[in-house]
Amino acid sequence: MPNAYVINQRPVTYGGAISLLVEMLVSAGWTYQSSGDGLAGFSSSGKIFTGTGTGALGWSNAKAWARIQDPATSREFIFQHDNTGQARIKYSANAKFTGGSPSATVTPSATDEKYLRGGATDAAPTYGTWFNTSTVTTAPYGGAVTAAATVVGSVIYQGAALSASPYGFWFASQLHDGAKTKGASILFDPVNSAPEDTDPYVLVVGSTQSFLFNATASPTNGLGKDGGAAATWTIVNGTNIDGAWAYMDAARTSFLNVQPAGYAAQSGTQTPNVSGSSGLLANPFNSKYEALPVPWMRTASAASIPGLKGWSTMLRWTCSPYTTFLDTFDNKNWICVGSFWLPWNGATQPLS
Amino acid sequence: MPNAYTLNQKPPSYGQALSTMVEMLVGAGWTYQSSGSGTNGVFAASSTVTISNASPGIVSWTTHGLTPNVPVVFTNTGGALPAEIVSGTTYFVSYQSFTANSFAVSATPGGAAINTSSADSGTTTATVKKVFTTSMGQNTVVISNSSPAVFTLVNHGLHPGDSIRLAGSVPTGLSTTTTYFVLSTSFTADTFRVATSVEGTAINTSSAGTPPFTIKPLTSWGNAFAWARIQDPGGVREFTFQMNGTATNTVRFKYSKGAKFTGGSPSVSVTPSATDEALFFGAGTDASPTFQAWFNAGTVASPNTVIYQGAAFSAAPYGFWFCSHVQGTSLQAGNGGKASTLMFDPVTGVPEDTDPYVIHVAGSAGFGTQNGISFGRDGGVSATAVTNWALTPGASDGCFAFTDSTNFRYVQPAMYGTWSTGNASGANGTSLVAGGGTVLTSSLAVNPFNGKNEMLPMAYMRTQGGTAGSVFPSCAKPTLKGWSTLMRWTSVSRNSFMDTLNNKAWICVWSVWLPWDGTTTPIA
Repeated sequence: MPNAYVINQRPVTYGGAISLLVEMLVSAGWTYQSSGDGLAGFSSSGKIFTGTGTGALGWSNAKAWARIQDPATSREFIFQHDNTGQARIKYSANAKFTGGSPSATVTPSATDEKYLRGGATDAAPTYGTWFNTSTVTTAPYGGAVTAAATVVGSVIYQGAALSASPYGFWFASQLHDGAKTKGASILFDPVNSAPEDTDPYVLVVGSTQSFLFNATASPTNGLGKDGGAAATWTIVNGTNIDGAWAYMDAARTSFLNVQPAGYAAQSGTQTPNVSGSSGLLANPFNSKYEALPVPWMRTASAASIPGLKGWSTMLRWTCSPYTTFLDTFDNKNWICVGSFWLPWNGATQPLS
Repeated sequence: MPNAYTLNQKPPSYGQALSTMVEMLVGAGWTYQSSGSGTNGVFAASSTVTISNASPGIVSWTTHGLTPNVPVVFTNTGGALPAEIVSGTTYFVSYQSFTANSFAVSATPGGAAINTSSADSGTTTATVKKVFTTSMGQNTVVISNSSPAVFTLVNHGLHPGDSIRLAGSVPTGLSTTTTYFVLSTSFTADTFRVATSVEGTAINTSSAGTPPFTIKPLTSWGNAFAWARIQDPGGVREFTFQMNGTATNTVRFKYSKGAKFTGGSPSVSVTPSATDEALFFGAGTDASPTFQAWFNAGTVASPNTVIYQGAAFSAAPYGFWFCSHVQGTSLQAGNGGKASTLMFDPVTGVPEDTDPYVIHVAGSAGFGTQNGISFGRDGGVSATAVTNWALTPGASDGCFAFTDSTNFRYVQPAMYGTWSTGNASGANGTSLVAGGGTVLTSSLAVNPFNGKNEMLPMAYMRTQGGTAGSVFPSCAKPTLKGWSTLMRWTSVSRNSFMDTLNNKAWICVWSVWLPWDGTTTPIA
């Protein structure tokens, strides 16, 4: 089975956007385990959707959801949205979403589930802003324009899902013009970790800070988020916070904020510059881009010292963060998304 | 050829310490290209010679300038060497039948002179590249008041015919300005007699003098201004290593990435030059060199208390490292420090890098990360006063590399930076000091899944800051030199050599893991 991609897609609805992500995964070997259309349609064993629009069996209904399992039948996600630009995403590393009282509007539960977006209960869910909700109404790439449908044709979605084990994937979006505002993103990053790591994955969910290592002081959002600001490292996952999380113990009891470490060299003010995030010149010998590997770490605090989760298999640091999807690397095998290079299909010039 | 190591060595002198490093390199396939043993010593040379059919066979070389036990190699064109002399094999000038214009050779230093069954024919060339005959540097010797005088130094390591000089208030009958030669008569591993010529009349003494007396072999690294030109097994890169003198802990090191040290006016005490040479420790000129402290002073002040460790890879790309610290003290600065540090680190960079190596050199803070020194030295601070990042080597500890085809500059082993509370100064953390917050070197916890030490790869970067110029149009951002192949960051820095990892395949040296022999427990 080949890898699957979302390439230069501009869906006109939120349901269309979330469907792009799910169907990309399915094309790479993931499977629907159950789903609900947010109305009355419910399948306890697979896919209920027949389209991406509103109404019966469509993705563009509030509370529409799907339970998706990886090709190894080990790890699962729940994707749900409210059809207003918000989403609720859950992850099960091992137990699987076989509990609860799932229905057309209610997602199942897993004993080890972790919220990556949104929160509350399956019966009365709350959502976190995920999709780009800009009021931009222009659509230079040909999408139908309506003032009410804010995502119409103006948000570009890209993504890749690797069909070979360990089944990493990424999905990201941004406005096509103006500030190139980031929108919905998710990364399932298999890491090279210690053999004792029972869940060697890092999960990244972002919206306005997608794939950005925020270079401003005291960032509270994004991959550069200040991990030490909360006690005991448990910067909460879920809600509206952009960030990265991973299990940091073999027993899978500590699901903690992790951070992609940059490279720090001392500079003129005896202050280390963190390279790979906010800046690194092109290689001095060939003037080409760098693509530095990314170690995921639990960040430091006054009470604790950092710990290594593992090395990303999906991300590479760029020399400099890019505002568009336009840049590719190594014969289009990598696409630039924010501060990182991510796997690309080796053929397509991305829109930006 | 296997890798070579310096394992738990405690040489009693600076000269012997440097000899330990150079011979480690030779053990891994590096070769002497030339050398000078310093003031009153011997200079490498080559000449057309003849070899007689005699017992022993005599090599005729007018005013050869050599002394017994110097290694010599013979080659021949248009004819043949005597059957007993093999082309390319190293022999040693013998103390037997030694004159100013001729000498016999032996298979081992101080060994029996070789008899020949025929004379050479065609053109025979004798070549001397290494002039050192003993690893011994300056040392303390006991001299008897007797006829003849008996010199006692346990395991002195000298051979009959070796030339020496003395220092101190020596007994009557001896002088500090005369060259003496070790005699074969009554020679033992711990005692010997001397004469003013090779196999001459033994010197008598008629007073006790005022001990202690110092002995200094003239064909050793312990002699003032002794130097050697050493080439890697690939025949590409070279170093020159030079000692200041017997009683000082200073040295002068140069590096050539390809042009080789074939220029200048080398002599017994003057190093050669290379068109691309980088003088990375010490300063001055070859004719008038200045030196920089490299050895831990404890090498002399407290003999046998400084531990030397090292490794040299015999396979391409021929990396090596060498380091010392005072036994029983902290490795970290201010506690004896880590001295005598030299690392030749092949880096994994881009194919266009014509010299993918980083040289780390340090006299007091080897492999250390504190602010302002060694790894943590602030390239930007000094660079603000030095155009184009030319934070020049030769003045302090640090890491240096060619960051383009001609510029040999300070580079820094980058650490890993994350955000945390209190480290919100711009895009940066606050300090490279261990435990300084977000920058991870010696402040990383053991792996949370198995409790084991981490060993993180290391990227060398030209640091940020400085003045833009023709070489670097913008110095606003760092650039990557490449990835170390010798070092890994530790998760917790160590105060001694004691820690090893992965079945002793790695040894901890302060903030880094370095290759080790897989067998030996290091002493600390």
